[in-house]
Amino acid sequence: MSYFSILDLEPPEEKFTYMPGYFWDLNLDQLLKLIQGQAPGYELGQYYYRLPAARACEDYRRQIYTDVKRPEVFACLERFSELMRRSGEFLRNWGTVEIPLQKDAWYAAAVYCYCRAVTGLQEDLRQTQIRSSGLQGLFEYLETLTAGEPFQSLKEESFRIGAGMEAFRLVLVIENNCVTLTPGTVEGSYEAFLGKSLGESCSGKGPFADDLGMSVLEEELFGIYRKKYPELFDSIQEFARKFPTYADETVRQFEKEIQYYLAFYRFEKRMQERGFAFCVPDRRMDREMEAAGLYDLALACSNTLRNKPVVSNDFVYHEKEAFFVVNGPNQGGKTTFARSLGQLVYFCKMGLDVPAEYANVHDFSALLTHFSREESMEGGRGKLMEELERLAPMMEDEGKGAFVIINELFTTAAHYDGCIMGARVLRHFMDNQCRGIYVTHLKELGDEVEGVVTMTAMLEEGGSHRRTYRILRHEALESGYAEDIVEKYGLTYDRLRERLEKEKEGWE
Amino acid sequence: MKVCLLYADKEWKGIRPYYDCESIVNDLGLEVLFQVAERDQEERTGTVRTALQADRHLGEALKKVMLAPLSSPEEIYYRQAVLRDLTQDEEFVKGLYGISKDMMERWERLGKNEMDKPGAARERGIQLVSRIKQLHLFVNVLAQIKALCRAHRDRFSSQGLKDFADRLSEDFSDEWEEKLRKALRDIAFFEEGEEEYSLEGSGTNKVRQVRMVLGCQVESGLKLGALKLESLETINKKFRKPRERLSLSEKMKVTFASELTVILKGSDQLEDLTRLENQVVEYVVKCFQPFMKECRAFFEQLYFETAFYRACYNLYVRSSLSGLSLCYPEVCETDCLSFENLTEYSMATYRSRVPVGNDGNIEGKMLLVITGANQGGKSTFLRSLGIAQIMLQCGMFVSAERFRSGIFPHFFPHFTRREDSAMNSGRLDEELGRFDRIIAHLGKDSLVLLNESFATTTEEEGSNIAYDMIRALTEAGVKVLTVTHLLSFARRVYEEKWPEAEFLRAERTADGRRTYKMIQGSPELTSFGLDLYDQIIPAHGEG
Repeated sequence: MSYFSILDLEPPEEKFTYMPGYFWDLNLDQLLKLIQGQAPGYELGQYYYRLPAARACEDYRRQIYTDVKRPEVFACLERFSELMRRSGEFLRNWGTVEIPLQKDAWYAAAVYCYCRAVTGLQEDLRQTQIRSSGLQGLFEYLETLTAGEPFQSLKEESFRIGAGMEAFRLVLVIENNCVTLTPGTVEGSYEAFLGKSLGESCSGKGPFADDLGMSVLEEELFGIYRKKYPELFDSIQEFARKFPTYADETVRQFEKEIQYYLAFYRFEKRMQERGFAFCVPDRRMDREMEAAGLYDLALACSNTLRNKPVVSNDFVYHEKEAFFVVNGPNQGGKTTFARSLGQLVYFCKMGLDVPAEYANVHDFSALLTHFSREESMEGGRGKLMEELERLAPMMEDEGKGAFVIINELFTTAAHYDGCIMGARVLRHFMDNQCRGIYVTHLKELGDEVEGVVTMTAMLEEGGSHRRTYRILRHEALESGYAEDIVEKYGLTYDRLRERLEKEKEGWE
Repeated sequence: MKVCLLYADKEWKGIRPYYDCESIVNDLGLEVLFQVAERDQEERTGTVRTALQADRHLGEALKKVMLAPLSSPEEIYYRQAVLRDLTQDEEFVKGLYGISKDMMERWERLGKNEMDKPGAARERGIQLVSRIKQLHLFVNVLAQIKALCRAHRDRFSSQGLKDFADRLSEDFSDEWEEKLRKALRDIAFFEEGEEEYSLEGSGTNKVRQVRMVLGCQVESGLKLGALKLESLETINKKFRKPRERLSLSEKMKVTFASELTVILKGSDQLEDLTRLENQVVEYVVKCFQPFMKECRAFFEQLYFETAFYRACYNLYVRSSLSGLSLCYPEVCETDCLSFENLTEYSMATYRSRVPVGNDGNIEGKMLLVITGANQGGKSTFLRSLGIAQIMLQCGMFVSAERFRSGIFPHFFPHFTRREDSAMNSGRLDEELGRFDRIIAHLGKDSLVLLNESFATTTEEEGSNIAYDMIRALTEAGVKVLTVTHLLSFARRVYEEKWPEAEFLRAERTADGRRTYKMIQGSPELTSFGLDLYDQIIPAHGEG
């Protein structure tokens, strides 16, 4: 079988095991942690660190993700994923236990789960309309696999043992140190008594842990039991000898790769429940690149914990516009805005949904970011050096057609120098067909550079200096806080009246 | 199970205190009350004696409750009624608080605070034993309280106490109590070697043994899974050797045992079995979790709420012993304030004697300007109003023969202490800063007590600031009681005939003597500091 993956069309050139630099700058590291949390036990970094090599691959993934989001497809993938996870868990148990009979039993259980996962997925997919070529390819592969003789006999045997195990029930009477075993079932009357006497909370999960950790006792009990009822035990031992291997490589790879989509979708759904919008981005080059209701997803995640709202923004790059230069007060939402643009491009390239109400995103070859590093303690020239050294590789040829995010470059340089250098950097990227956003304190930066749009983080009207976190196309603001020292506390008659009038509205 | 002795519909949780409680305590001198309330009071040879032993918890509870205002007449009368009942039933108030306190101490010793800590396996066993002991304690104490309530139920006339007694009988019914006790008996085997074992004589020693029936499904990897508990009991048997050394009877049993009976003898196997038994006990105890949680909340609440009443009871006894009149105040509109023989309660409590009382009946006024002679008792009077207001708002009695006032959940004292005043702008800055914070925290039904505010600047400046601010405040519907020596301010308000203003001044007899009484009337132009000057500094020239 040739190369098959639901993430790539061609085998990727290199494996990414390190987080790219832009992850920290865009707070994608925090997001990945949350997404990873939706698929415990799987390592998602290797997939999320790597941008698809070509536009075709981005579309390939987007088609698959569109399929995954359909409830019937999502449900069958979840079932598959859960069974495979359990199969893996059983196999790990097989590796850790030492009693031979239990070892074999774990093995049989792992195979049983695996066979149920594969057969279940194949049957589920047959009854579902699949639209993406990726999942269609998988379905065809499964059809061939399950029709083959090796899988058929593996399935038959493991199902037979599985059925035997499922029907296997015992009653234990424990008196001091004496245990009596009989086949049969009980009602759990004592638990019911407790439930009735002490409330609902104890009727749910019974007294016993999932893993009792009683291997010695179990071995003893089943040793005795086997003497009288040997059939099931014998067939378990036989099974392990007959089928020393079982799992198909492509199925294994699919199990891991599908987590890329499942985890993101679970995460997306949770955020949607909290009222955050996601959309499938348009990819039309013949229309202006733009977004509406765009927000910083990482900020949204941390703010929902603190019940703080998140301000969203709209933007559009008109024709011939290539760079936003964003000005405004500290803590005004400039960096957040820049991050949200970066996240937009990132998730769009990954073939996933983007945190906005609407978006049309053009093609970019790469994602380049440059944020000032707080930890660099050197001032003056040292810091400028450090910044330029990080900037240089970004300005090499590979950066053609990239999306560029620059945050506070040249803060330590003199104002005049900073403006000149900043303008040069802007020109360089624009000459290389890049688009991007440049956050700065320098008000004059970008004046008279063609293709640059000046934007500002706005304050509330009326001179209150309250931040709105809205970024609009606007001239840089003039600052100036001349407050009368005499009225420092706002306690003159007029001012006090005004304050009290305003406060009174909130009293009732 | 709810206590609900402080509020009809809620427990003491997340109750909002006044803004800036520290100023209230300091400016009104409430600390004295908290301290006195911590000790039992009694009369001995004609004088009031205070017990040496202090119960800090009483003072703390009183402080917390006093510093959180009630917001409606219903709430206030509810608490007053409970307090009235309790001050009439010494045995009950002492008994209930005594049980709660004793219970708390025993609970602490049983590791109350370790309840939620996860521990290592071995420690978990110890924790389990202490948890079982806690359960015994809870059940016993609840039964004790239930009995106490039943004995006193007929004497209660307040809704709060009646409901408390009825709720306990219902929520902790005899039938339920028996079920809890049964479950505790069933897991008694776990406490092997505890109390009972050693109590009985050596000849009749008993061993507690477990008997349980479980159902299970055999799960993947041949593990016992989906276990269900069918029955559980502890059987008391005559003394027998511990199970590790059962060799003789073991042989007997093997002979007669059916082929599916296993007698466990290896220490590993027994360990597994013990683990299984422990899980069952842990489960039963876990089932008690909601009960424990409820008890925890109930007892902590009870300990706190009864402490408030117990503290009030101590103050009540102290006042009655020193002959101070107390009354349960009435709630009225915010622009009314009337009182008969109102005394400054902190001072009266501290000195254990009855100070001069004041009368007044002020209707339809939102501003009270108190002026008059120095050392004439102005500040004391303002404090007496403040303390009475605080006590009214927490459902307590008030030291007066009659007291009527509105409810002001937003209560702000702004006292400038004489010794602090100095003519410098830094002080004024601080004072205005404090004022600014008060303005920011005002709300519907606010009361501001100003004592000698703006004394840190000249009379003219101070008067102007006071005039502006008080005007803005009264216009906004904030009630202001101010003691002031700023006579230009007081005169101005008087001459402009503000409809919402009322004036009181410290009485001074014709011969310059101070009666420490406040009388209604126009402000005078002098605060009679000269009198005081003359009194303190003897006239040299004339001698």
